[in-house]
Amino acid sequence: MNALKDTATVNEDDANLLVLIIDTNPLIWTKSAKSLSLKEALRHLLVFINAHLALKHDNEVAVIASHIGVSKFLYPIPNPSRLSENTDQAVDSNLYQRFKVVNDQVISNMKDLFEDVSTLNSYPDKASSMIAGALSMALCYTNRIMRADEIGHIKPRILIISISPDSPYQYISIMNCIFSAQKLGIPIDVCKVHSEETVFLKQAAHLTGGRYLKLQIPQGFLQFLMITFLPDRFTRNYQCLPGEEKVDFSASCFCHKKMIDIGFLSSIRTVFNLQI
Amino acid sequence: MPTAVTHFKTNIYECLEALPKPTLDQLYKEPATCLAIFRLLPPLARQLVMSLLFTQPISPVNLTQSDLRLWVKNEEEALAKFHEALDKLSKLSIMTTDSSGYIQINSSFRERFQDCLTGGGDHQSFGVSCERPAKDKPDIAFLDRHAMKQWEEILHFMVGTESTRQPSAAVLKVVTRAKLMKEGKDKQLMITNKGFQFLLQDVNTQVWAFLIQYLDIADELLHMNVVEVLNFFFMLGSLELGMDYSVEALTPTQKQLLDDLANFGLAYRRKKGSSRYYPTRLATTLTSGNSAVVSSAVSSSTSTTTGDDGATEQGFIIVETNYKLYAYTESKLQISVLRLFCELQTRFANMVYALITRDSVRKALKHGITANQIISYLTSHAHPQMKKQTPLLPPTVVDQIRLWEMERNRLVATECHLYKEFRNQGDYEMVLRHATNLGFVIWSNAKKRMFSVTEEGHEHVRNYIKKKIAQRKTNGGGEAGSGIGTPNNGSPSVR
Amino acid sequence: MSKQYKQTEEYIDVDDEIQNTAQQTGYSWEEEYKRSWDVLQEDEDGSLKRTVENLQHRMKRKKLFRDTSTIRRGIIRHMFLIIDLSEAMMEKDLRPSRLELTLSYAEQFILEYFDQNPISQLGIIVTKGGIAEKLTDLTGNPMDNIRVLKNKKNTDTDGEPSLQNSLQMARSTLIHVPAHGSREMLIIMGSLTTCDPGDIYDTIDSLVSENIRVSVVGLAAEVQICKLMCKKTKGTYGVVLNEAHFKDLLFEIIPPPPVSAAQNKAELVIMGFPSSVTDSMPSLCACHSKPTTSGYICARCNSKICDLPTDCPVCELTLVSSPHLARSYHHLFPIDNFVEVPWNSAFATHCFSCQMPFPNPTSTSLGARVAPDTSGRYKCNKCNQYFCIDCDVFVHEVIHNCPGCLATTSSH
Repeated sequence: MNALKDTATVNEDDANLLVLIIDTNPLIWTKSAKSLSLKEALRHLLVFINAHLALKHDNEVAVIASHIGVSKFLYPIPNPSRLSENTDQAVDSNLYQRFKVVNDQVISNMKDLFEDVSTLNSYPDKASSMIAGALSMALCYTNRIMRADEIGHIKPRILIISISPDSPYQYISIMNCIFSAQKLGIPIDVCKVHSEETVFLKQAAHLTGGRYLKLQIPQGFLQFLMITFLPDRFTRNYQCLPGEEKVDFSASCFCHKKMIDIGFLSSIRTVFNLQI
Repeated sequence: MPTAVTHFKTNIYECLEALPKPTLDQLYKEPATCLAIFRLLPPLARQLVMSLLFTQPISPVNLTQSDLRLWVKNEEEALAKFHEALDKLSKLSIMTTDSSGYIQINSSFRERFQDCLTGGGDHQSFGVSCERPAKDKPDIAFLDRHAMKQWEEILHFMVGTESTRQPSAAVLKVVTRAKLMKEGKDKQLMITNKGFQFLLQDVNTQVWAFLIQYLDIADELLHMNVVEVLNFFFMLGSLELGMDYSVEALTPTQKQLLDDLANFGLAYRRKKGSSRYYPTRLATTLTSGNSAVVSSAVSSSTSTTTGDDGATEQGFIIVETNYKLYAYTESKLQISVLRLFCELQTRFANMVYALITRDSVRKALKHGITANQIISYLTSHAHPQMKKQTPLLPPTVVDQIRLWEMERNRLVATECHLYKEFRNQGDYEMVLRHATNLGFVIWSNAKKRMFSVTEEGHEHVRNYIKKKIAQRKTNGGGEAGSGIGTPNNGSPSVR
Repeated sequence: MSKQYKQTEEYIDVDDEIQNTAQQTGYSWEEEYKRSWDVLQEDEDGSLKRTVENLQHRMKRKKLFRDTSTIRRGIIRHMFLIIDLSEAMMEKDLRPSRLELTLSYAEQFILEYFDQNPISQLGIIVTKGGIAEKLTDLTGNPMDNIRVLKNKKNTDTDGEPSLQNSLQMARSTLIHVPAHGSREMLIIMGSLTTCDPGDIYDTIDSLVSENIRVSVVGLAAEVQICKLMCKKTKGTYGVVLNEAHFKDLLFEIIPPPPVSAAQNKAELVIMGFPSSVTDSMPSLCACHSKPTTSGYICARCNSKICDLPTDCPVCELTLVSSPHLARSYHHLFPIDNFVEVPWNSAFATHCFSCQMPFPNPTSTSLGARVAPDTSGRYKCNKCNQYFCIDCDVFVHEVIHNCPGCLATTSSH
């Protein structure tokens, strides 16, 4: 059960696809607003995305928002119709065109996401967000890009900006996504902005060869992102990146949804029970 | 396509490193230039710059080189890359170590690059678009055709196809300056060996070679400011294909530059004085490393939504293990280039079938093209289907082309002087020993009592022999006679 | 007497007559000759592109239909892989030879088996020259098995296989396996004969009474005794048509089999989930007594072990890591197949999970509107989202999660 080391087939000239999953649970972001609000964080994230695109001409990016009850693509979306309405002009001479396109779409789609409160009110579990759904969509998107690129030129990776705690209901789905990522060799990095540790995402980072980092200084969000999460798959092989090494591999019990370290395994349906 | 990327990168690198520090500081005042130069750096260097870019405002951070070294793994390869990165950064004066050992990032680079990433500032460095919409906007296919037509005209002129017009004065100056063509007997320009080699390179490298030569001329002959010229090049590289940009925002130097570049095919203007210009694919892929040519075989049905610049395939050649070559192209220029080193057999509507033979490759070798250039041409223009197999080209063909090149190296000619007809073995050996001690002997044959000596050695050996003859005369009376050895002047000896 | 009983019970269907009466009568050479090249037809423009795309589409869909009811399955499996090393395996009808192909597929099978069933065990038995030989005992380490297969000495062929001997050998180990695990055998037979010391029907009866499931993959032709054995023990029997079919048949055994009613008592097995630890100073591990800096701490007795999954050498608690178990969960909660959407309800423009645009009816050069055979849209019935064929294959074979159900609220 070794964590995956990136194989030597990553070349210096490969393009990189960064799939950024942003946890936008509004309730928890308001809690964290004293140290880092969502608006501030989004500004830092946009500069980070621009930095990723600046590294190489053919780097690509995709952004998915993981909200309460719904998870959606923020970039790229198929019909960006609102673009010309909201912005002053289609071309800004002070901003590199590619940056502008991405930034505008992310901002306008994020606005749409927050304006639509119908799912928010109807969804029961407001403590966590749909990380499993966002991860599955991210994996499908990378699958599509890798199939379209026949020469193996583009190398994907996933970065999750997480703020909500684990949801035990999503355990199986998240583990399925982790194993798929492990099989495809896609590292999953996690940056934990607020609240307590998420064991599932820590396991995700460990099993797929990514880094897990808890944000210590919220105002320095961008700097943390630049140092830890900007290096692409080629540069990572040569750098010592910060992150956590100790991983807790406990499972969650099926009936009480608590984390346990000794349990009973049913041979047929793997139901765990707390040892009484 | 690693070969293409490294070629043009090294070209620009050398050009930039040769600039003095104040010029580089001037260059870094434009964010588009910062972005373009940033993309030329090696990967670890880029990461170092990004990690340190935003540190200053919050609290000044004083790091030394050994601090930075902690970020890198303790393996040989990693450390080698780290040192290479630091070296390149300091040569371009982006990141230097100051007198107290602390790492400093060039302040104007830092500010402008931050502006580039955040969209701040007022520099308008990414091209001002036109306010009035254009009446008929040319579409991207038209721009591509226009660009290729212009560029190929230049190349056709070099190859000497009859039906081309004389290109503009700037082109002629560049071409002669770069020694791609030279004045022949009848005051016509003839293509040189270097020109042939130039033809075999891919379009990005060719465009950059042109631009760098233009930079040289700009400085000396046209008295243009080097900084403005480079800024314009890099700004062109950051523009969006298919958008129109206004001419008003350019300086007079840049306007003149635009005229010349339009002749090369990098930009399109409807007429000479029109107020808007459209960059073509040759311009937008200047700094990207993508191919500047999109072959008609590539359809856009599989492209992602991230823009048209993503089309990358320009390959159209398939090479088989039986030395047959199939080129899916209709461009006359490419066919002329192919004719340089293979024999065309049949020509179809969309394809040309050729054969690589010993004679055709030898013909190319005589013109000064090397086997490596032929091989890199075939590799960079290989069809995407070929790219799926490893190794890319059949090893038999590659090895055979190299062998044909080595055949020409079987004979090496050296000018020398031949000494023969020694009276006796003793004399022969004495002179031979002396010449060998001085290191001048190229060849010797004890049976025939002959040896050959280099040009420089000839004087020494002749003097030595004369001395010995004089000695003998004074010592031995009349016995020695003439000719310890007669030198045979100036005949080349072939080994 | 027992033989008579058997004959009336199971009439051996020699000529497949019972099967065939429902279909056309006669022999296969009497049927109309199928020409495989007739499948390719040009469309109006003279291009084969659409036909090729349709063929690819249909092939992808064929792989997807599988059983998706949530039935009980055995997660902890104990399987013996029995490989026939008789002279019939040197035939070259499968490239490069039956034996080499079997060995390479067996390696891939072992890797995939442990990937999908991480807490299971596998052992290898070979049979040649009338005897059976055990190469490896039941083990949870795939590398042991693969190393043994790569060793050339173990894979010489000789003589005739012995079905009964190999069954007996495997059975003698499997009866000691505790009842919570499933007991299985997979036989790869290239020969049409077997050389047995006793009555194989007795052996088959004892296998049935001990709930051991036997599956056979035949390389030559259908053999009645194998068919009977598999039917009685509720295993599967398949005969390969070509190399690709061989691989498919082998890999069908990898997902855990459904559990029969007889085995339905759900026993609970106690297991521990250790946490990993890294020290700066090395300490001895409990399994090999080697000094190591990193390892796992047993949840019950706190002794350090090197690798998972294993039994703790001190307190004998089975230790697994939760990711190991989680690998097999998707077999228990399979997702439903997606339904193909016909053209009249094909309104979605893009795939939900990868944003790829769906094909629309295209116009040919003659101006007629022609639609490809399928609309390319597949719908999940639970969340009503539309997916493309690539996502469909990817979701069902790799991720085992429906992105639509997880990313929208309609399913909860």
